[in-house]
Amino acid sequence: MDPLLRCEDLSVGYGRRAVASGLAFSVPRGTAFHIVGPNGCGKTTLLKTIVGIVSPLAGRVAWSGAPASARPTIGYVPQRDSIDSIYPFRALEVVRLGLGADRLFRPTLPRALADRARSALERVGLGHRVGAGYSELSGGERQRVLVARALALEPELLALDEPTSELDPGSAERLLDLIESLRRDAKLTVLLVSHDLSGVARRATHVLAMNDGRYVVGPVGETLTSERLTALYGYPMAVVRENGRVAVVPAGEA
Amino acid sequence: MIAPPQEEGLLGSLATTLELFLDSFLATLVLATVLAFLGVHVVLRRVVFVGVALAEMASLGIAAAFFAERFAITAPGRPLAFARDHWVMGALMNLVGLAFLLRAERRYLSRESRIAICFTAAGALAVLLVAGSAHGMDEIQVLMTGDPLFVSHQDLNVLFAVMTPAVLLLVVFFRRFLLVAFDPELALTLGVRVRAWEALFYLLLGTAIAMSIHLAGMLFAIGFLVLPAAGALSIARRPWSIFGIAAAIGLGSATAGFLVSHERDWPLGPTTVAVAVLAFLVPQVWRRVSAAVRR
Repeated sequence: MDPLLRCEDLSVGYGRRAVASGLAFSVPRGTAFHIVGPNGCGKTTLLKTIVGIVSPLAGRVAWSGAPASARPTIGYVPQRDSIDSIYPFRALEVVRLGLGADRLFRPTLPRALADRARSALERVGLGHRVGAGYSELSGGERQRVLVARALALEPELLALDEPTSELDPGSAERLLDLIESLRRDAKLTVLLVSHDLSGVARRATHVLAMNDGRYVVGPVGETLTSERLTALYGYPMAVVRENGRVAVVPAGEA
Repeated sequence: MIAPPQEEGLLGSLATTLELFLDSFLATLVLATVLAFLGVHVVLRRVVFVGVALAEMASLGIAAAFFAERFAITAPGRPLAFARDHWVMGALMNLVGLAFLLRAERRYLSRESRIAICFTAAGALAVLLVAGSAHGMDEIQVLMTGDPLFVSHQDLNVLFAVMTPAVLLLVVFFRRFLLVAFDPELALTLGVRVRAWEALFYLLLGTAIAMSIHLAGMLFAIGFLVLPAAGALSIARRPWSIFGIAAAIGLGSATAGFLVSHERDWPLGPTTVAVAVLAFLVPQVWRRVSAAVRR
């Protein structure tokens, strides 16, 4: 499969402290590529390095054989609590904020881009909430607004950092279903950091599992195994498949 | 204070006052409007105390300029003549303050601690610098409450020369400044050079504060940085309207303050700030009363 990006001997971290080093893997185009691992293993730092928020300590992220500067459009969905709710923006304004960043000398947004923001909100099922205050929305709605903001950019890569961490199970499932359907319909590549191993087992096509400087990467069926998860988390874990469904549970409960 | 001339009607005396103090009036309007516009960013970014610390640093710069007047090496035409220029020294000290305040947080020194250190150090040094002069207390009062009434034509020209490009930058790059402030991570993913835009914003803020302290005092600078923005945020719900209403509150408060100061013979700086306080309070009271009536 044609890779969208390649991490070449990548070291990531903050300041001079590396949290993960020597990472070398490709993210195939159009896949649902999930990153898992225990707290503090560097998942979020890796995602932020790939999308350009954090500079690599060593190595590089190469985009489809092009130089790093020619990276494709990236739609980034942060954890919800990284957005300050003091800003009295409506949902539509939050989506519009990322648009037209390349039009430096335009203080207002062209109509075509403004329409794109509205249609992105409709795609995530919030067409009726365009005028609602962002801080007045529920957690699930806010997360969908952030997904809409990323989609409005018409990205090749949708990068999400624990998008369901603050959502109830129903809202989380609906959001992940939405992302999966968008990936299939719009042929997006999805890069997602998650702690929800069952969700990863059901939806990922590829997985990068990392911990303490070690990592394994590959198709989900080969990577997300009971043995590997047990080694990764230092606790017995089991991948249970039953009636076509898959779940990851602590081994004692399997 | 603006004393209304005797034996004239109110309009006649106002016209005379405006004629005499047109430069002061225009400077007050420009400063109030620019500070109000910048203030929306300051309030939304939750960096009000950075603004206050910068105001104190600008005061230190002006106190240093007063202090420099004692030395012949700073006389006009000498190499260090700039040291007597109030707003240049204010701007310089603001740059020093920004370099200290905006450094990355360290485990042992948070942003709040830096602000407090900056504020107290600048305040204490400013008092010490002017304490030895014959007019020490007068100079302290000028720094604190200021008086935009005595703005000279040259001051006004400098103000326009500096503020016109600043306002143009803020308006033309409105969306960019908003993006960088609201979600710097998103901006980075879009390839925006966030640090450069942040540096530009704080440079504009520091310059506006330094000029305001020099021409109108700390009370005016802090008051117009916070009050119009807070008022606008309580009544507006869209980005452009928040900034527009804040600027309008700043402009309106400065104009009304000038009129009240003229009519009541009150000091201009504190009067304009008092009017801005009223402009902030009125919508709050209105909202509460209308909510109570609806219940």
